[in-house]
Amino acid sequence: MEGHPTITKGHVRIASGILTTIGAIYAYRAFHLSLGDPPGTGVGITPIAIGVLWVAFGLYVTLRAPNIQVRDGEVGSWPGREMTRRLLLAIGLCLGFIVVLPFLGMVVTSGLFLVLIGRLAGAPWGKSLLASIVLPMVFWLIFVKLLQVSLPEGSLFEFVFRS
Amino acid sequence: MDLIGGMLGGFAVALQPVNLFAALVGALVGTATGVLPGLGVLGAMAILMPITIHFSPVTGLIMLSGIYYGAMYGGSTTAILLKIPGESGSIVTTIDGYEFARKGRAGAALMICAVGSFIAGTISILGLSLFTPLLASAALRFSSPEFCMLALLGALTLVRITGRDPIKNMLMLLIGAALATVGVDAVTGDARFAFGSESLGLGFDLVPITLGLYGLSELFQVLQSNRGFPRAETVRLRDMIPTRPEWRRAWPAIVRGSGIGFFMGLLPGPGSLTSTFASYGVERAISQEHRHEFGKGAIEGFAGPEAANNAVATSALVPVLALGIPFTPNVALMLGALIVQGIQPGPLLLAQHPEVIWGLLASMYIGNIALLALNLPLVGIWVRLLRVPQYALIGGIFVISFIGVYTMRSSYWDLFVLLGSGVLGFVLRRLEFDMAPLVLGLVMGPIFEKAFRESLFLSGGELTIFVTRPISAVLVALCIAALLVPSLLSLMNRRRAARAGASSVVTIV
Repeated sequence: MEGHPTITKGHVRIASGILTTIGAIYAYRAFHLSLGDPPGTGVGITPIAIGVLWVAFGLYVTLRAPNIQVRDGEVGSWPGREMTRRLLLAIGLCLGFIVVLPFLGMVVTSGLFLVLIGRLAGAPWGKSLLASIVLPMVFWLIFVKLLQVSLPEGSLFEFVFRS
Repeated sequence: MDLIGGMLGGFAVALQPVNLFAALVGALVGTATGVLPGLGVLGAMAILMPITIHFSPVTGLIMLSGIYYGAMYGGSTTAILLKIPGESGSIVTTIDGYEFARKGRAGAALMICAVGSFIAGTISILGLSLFTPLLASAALRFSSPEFCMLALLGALTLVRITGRDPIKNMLMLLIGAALATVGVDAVTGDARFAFGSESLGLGFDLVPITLGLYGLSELFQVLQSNRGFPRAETVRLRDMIPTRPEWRRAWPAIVRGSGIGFFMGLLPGPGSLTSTFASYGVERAISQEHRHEFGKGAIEGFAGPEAANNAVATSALVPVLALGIPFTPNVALMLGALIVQGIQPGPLLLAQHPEVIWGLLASMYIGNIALLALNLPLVGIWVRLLRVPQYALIGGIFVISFIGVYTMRSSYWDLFVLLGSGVLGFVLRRLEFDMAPLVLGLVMGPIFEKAFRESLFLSGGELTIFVTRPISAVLVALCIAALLVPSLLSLMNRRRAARAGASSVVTIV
């Protein structure tokens, strides 16, 4: 059985500390915005209020006395090593989809993505390949033909077919 | 326009083939997502919202609302058969609904829930048809200060009621509101937090963020565990007829649940979950003969809460249609869909776009009948849906999400926002941060800011405008109460408990 690293209250504090730092940067930038005339009608008033409250509540969550009723193990757990690998692969595949999309277009990118995500989700090669052929065609029919939506065709194909 | 004239006009709109089709597709897709554990109502709505913008506003809204109440319907199936709530409103159903199913009455439980949902939906739609025009006409007396305070009240109530930690909720709400401030200001044209980037200048769209936080993060969760969906036994149609004594116990609970759900949906806060718990509490409190059965398969324990859950789904639309202010993330997404279509929700919506409101209301009657007619014969298919291989569903949902988000603004940047929100949602949910306040902050932020700046413009910068107008002053008082009352109650309870503890020690001594 794979071990799951425990989420500790320290981890919650680190996350909240990061959010508070982003809030502080937001608040700092907000103070450079105009307050307007009469005061409060400009673009700065709401961001200033949000920024100040964000930092205040963020600091409170970060620094508040730990709840002694809750033990660290009760907060939850992070994914184990194998789970993290699968998660990173899934995120990587999504990132790859977005990066490749302008070059290969929606149909080819979807096909490639579906093969790999299918394999990651435990599908045999044959079924993954079948899904990668059938589903992009179904999506193309629905979005392009039925809903008349313009989807990226891919600069690579435009270049090849034009030349 | 009077009620009957409005409804007749609404039926003329709703019975158009395209709208009829949208209501049916929405209801079926909603039921399917309600049945599948994990994705949830909001994720399903966020995935399909980009598709709805390619239709007319009324057709798009009819489809979205179909998904919404279809998911409420579908959530009960897995709650009863597998003890897994398809969505949060079905959590209570897992207690007695599952126990009732274990007695060999799963089919009857599903039938009671389906009929109960239909009755609750119908009662709630009648209430919605009556309340929306009334509230909209009352809201014509509202001006910017009132809308500002109403938005604040909705946000504060959600922050106080949802989840275990109101301070974390407040942090999430503020982050959502902060995200809404990024981009070019609609009034002055000044860019805020854009750092010279054209993409940031356009601001953050609601759909990629909501879809990332709820949809993608859930897909990551399913993929990393690779556990697949649980399996359920098929229920035969002939086993679905409840006995006469079962009906006699179910229907009063259904009527009470419908009433509770309808009124709780009108209030700010997560009505779905709270109304089901309220209905469960009421049923348990008033039951004398069968109180001992609660927790062990009492019919009232799932008939009432399921009806309440479905009534809330409809009545929660009243504030958004009449005031333009959503009190829950689900209806916030509907508001977003209207705004994307160029329709400004608010008290004037009924006067300016009557076909949208009346068409939506009439479509809900039709959708509700369709759900009852389709869901009972299709229950076997819904159960079989859980047997579809995970890889076939996950890959397709990922690609639909990407295509949907891209088609909203033809923006690659939005795809990065979608992915970033998915990762953020995955991490923050593990750390027990609730995502609902963030989504509501993103929607309520601009409503609040617009009304706040207009109010200060009207008063020449004087904040007293919020307390010198009677309705606004009442709303300010309610905001303060929403902030302080839960803390005061909890403090009083703790003191009472401490006093009780001290007196028991004295007695022992």
